Amino acid sequence: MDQLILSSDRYARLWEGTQITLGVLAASFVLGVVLSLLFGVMRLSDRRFVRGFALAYVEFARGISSIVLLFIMAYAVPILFGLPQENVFILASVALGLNMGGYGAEIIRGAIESVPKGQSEASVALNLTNMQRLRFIVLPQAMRVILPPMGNLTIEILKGTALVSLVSLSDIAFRIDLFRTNAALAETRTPDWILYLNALVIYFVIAQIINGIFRYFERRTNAKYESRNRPLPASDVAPAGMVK
Amino acid sequence: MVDRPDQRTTATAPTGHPVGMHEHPTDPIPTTDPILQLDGVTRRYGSVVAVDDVSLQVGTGELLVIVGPSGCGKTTLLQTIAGLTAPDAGRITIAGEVVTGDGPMVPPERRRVGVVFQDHALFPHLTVADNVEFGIARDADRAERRREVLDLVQLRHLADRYPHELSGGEKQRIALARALAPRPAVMLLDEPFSSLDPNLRTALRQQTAAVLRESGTTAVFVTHDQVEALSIGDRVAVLNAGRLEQVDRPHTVFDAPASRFVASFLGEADMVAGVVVDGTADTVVGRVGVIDPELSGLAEVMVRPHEVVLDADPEGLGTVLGSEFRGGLVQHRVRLADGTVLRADRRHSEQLAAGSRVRVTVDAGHPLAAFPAGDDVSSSSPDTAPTPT
Repeated sequence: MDQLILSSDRYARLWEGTQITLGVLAASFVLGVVLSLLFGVMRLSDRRFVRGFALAYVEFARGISSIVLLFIMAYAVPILFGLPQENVFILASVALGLNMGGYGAEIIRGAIESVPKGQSEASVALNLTNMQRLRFIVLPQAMRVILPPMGNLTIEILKGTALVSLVSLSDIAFRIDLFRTNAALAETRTPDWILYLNALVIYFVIAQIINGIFRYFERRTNAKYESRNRPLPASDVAPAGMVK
Repeated sequence: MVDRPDQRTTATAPTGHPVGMHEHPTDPIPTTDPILQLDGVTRRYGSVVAVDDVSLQVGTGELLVIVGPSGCGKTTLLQTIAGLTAPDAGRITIAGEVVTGDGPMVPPERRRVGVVFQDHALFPHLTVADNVEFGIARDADRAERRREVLDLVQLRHLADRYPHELSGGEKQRIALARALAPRPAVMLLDEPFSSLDPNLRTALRQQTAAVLRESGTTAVFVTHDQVEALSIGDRVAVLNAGRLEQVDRPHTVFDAPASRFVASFLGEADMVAGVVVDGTADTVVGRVGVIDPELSGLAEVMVRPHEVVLDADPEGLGTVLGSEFRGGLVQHRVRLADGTVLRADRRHSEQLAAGSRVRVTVDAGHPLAAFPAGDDVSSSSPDTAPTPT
């Protein structure tokens, strides 16, 4: 059993790696959500070229391999635009955020379309502008449909952050890999599988925390719709996000 | 419908003309202060003309009911007024402002209209109070206005509920309060009671009409239910295949329909052949007065089932074909000497066996509508008239 636990020194370094992972996750999540909203709404625009532009972005973001995008952002972009390469944290987060935005935009679009058309007409009849309608009527109702898949997507992005180790960001995956190569030189070597088992547990715990946060907001959103004494039909209750 | 002044009959009864001649039914009642005006409004969907050259005026505080069968274009007409769809031609003026027709269309959110939808369309994520306050201007005393309109529909105690916690009737009343809250110049109601059961509908239509009158709100109410139209409208506009057939007071459209379509749509109607001389028609059911003084010669006189009197008489010229029990009334089908079949609503205590002979007379209490004979318009046969549900 003792063999499964690493030294406290290594855990200290893993904690540093976890902070990097969470940082990249947070940055790419914020960017991803902003892009999702922007392009999800643009996908439903009345103007053809706006719709077309949004569709082009979505297909690009979903179609390109995240690792290729990551390498382009981390290595090609700094050379092309003369940016300092020390910004690799930001560049990597942008790559993951762009990736997330493509999937998120489709979630937002579908959720907005799921809000009955009568709701929009009613808010138009109450003299709301387009922005007010989106913000106060459509998005709050779309939230029930957005949250479960958005939780899944966030966990996907968490797992995607492991790729940033390949552009030398010292996240969890990077530290574990470092332990593995160093261990080859050490006298008492920890088996690889124990190292990876530790990484797995850390990622799993973070995923569960994300899951819990999304479930909390799902419950809060659904509470308004659920009768105090009778449950809604099953189809009205959004399925909780699941861990892959 | 009995105490209708005669001068109105003569002034407003364009009966006796072929339906096809009513290309532009004009509003017979001068609206001194029209707050809503439509001029030649037309809306096409591909080759289908949903709204065909409709012109009408609605006076301040008036409740105008637009009635017509499914697919007659009444909802489309309402949506063009609201600005939810743009007409292909014509002009719409609301409270002195041209909202459609001259220059750019005024977007729906900038028109002073309120809309009550068929499915109420309350916002499910907001409480009743928030729903109602939504349309009230930010600088107004929103809580005060919200209490005012909730009092008007007598549902102030439900302010903290969510829509899913309300009954169907309550939802519709809240939707009315929500639409009233921003003080619209014109209120549009699109079949607001069609999803409710009949008893609730009857109660709610009176309440709604009362609320609209009490608040002095001008309203255009769309329905396919002719009883609803006749019972709450200050005036009734009958729409058929996108065209206005007649716009007049409920009594007038019922007693003096401008076309066979109006005759058969606003209640049951049968036609009896007769010869008109000097405002009187000789028919197989006796001598009756007709409304149109201009009409003469062969004509068909409109008779409604409640106006037909049956007396059991072995020598009578009518034969009872069958009867349908309808509760308080029984509707008998009677074949006359010339083969015409009339419907007659009699009290259910008057039993008449099928095959028995009856004397048939008409007791309407007013002159009847008549149409020139041979003026057969396909859409206006009473048998094919849509029955409202």
